[in-house]
Amino acid sequence: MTALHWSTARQLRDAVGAGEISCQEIVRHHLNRIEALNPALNAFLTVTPEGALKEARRWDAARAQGEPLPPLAGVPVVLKDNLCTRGVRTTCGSRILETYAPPYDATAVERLRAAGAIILGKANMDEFAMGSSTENSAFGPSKNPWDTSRVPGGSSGGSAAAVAAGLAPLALGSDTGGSVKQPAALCGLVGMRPTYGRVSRHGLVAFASSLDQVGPFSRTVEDNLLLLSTISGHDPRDSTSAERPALDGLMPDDGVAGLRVGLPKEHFGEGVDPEAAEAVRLCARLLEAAGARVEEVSLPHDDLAVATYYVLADAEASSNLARYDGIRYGLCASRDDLAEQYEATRGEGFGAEVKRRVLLGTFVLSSGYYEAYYGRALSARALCRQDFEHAFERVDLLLGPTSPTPAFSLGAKVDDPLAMYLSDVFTIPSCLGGFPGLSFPCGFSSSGLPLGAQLVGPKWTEGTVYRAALHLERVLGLTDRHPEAA
Amino acid sequence: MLTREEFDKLQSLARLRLSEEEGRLLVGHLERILLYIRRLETLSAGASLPPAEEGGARLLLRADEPNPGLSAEEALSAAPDFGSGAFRAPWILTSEDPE
Repeated sequence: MTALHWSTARQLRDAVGAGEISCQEIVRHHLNRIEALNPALNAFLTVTPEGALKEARRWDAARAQGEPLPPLAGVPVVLKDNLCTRGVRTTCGSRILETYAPPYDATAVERLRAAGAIILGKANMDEFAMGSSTENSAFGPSKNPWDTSRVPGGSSGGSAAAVAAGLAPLALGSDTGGSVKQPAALCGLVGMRPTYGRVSRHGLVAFASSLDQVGPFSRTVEDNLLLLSTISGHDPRDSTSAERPALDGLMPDDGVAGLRVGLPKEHFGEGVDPEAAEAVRLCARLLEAAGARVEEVSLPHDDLAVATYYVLADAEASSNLARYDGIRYGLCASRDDLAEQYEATRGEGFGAEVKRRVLLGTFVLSSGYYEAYYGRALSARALCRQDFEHAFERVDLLLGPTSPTPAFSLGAKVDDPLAMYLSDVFTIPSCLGGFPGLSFPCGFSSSGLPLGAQLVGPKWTEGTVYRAALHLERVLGLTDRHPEAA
Repeated sequence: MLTREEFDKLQSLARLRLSEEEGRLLVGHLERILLYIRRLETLSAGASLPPAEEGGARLLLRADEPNPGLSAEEALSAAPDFGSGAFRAPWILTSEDPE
């Protein structure tokens, strides 16, 4: 029998519905695991046992009275700490928001609560979602449950570490240039970055508004769709939310025969770990064996994507983070002069990576440099998007490695920001175009670290992405493998 | 690449005060990153660049109708300093300023 903490969200939900287990038992079990394992993993910044048990009692009472239960009743979930939670501190991994308790819930959080999900707490992250390892958190790095001397990826590393260690079956992260997909790959999870506009950004603390999306983590493909279908759908409070209904939660299970799959040749070249590339090629062969047609495709402007991303994302960040001025919320380094107060508050409250990006963003938007950097990056973004659109004229999905390497050692890249940025070299290009992308476990390195493959589809084709991922999950049979340390 | 004057101006524009040591480290990093970003200059050689907004962001604005939002009390609840229903900040005008 599956241990409770390795049960999927669907299994837990069905067990609650059948009266085989109470919501309180599920929540207590996970809270005990958090207490035992979180000191070594630092996945959680805030644990909310009182709120979680209160919700659990509520759904247990509803079941006892024969009331219909919502679709995630009793299922524990963890939230990245940049999703606003009413009355529960939301730090964004930053000293500047260390004590900030928002007065409202993000739309994604509202929808989870309405669906009966039980929030266990808030997950560690790179400060303001800027990073690829969680080492930029002001509250110390999270550790990878597969090897605690290694990073879990980032920026949603706490969310990923929590699900990989069995501290919760589900978590939400946010993805700007790969912050769901990359940690999913490094922690052996399924992680989806939905089409831009699929999930409301209302209450997601802004980093780069034209790129940010909320995305789900899970240990199985079915659970991932369950979570995404719960939080997706139009929200009038976010003007970039698409006027589409919630994603259908019914798993498309009609195989991959006839599916056309492209392998971007730029994602199998120099710098890719040979084991990671081979694990993805195995996936391609498995798809072919099931009737899919696989061919090589090209993304000619791929080598411009990382530079484009860092110009645009940092430009937007420099503007979005202007709100942290010590007046309306967060840290305040009190001074008699307003300008001095702004500078001192931000100087004390922001960490090194945030300062670096705010300065870079300010530079590329400043008079004399705007066209050379920002204007050119906007054009490069359009070229990158067109590369994908041209590829999607020939194929239904693209398949490649999520990350060039498995999880790297803590501290390996902290002094070299550019090397850290290049960790996202394969996840960034599709984010620039707003395309949906999913990372799923596709194997293990010889040293036992998870390897991730990425499936990317045209906008609004999450169903096709999930269909291919479900087929591969079944034939690869990796879902019962868990980290030993957990 | 970045002169001291340019870097000081940048800090001022970004409303950030850095220590000397922090500044030295960040200048080095910024220069390396800007060097990497220079690969975007290859785009200048192209005959025509796609318009940035093509198929991208649309201007999406909801109707300008009042909707319930946070109360003043809620909005002020996280402020470091407030009073009389307002955020409190250092004075920016004094009685000596010309009217």
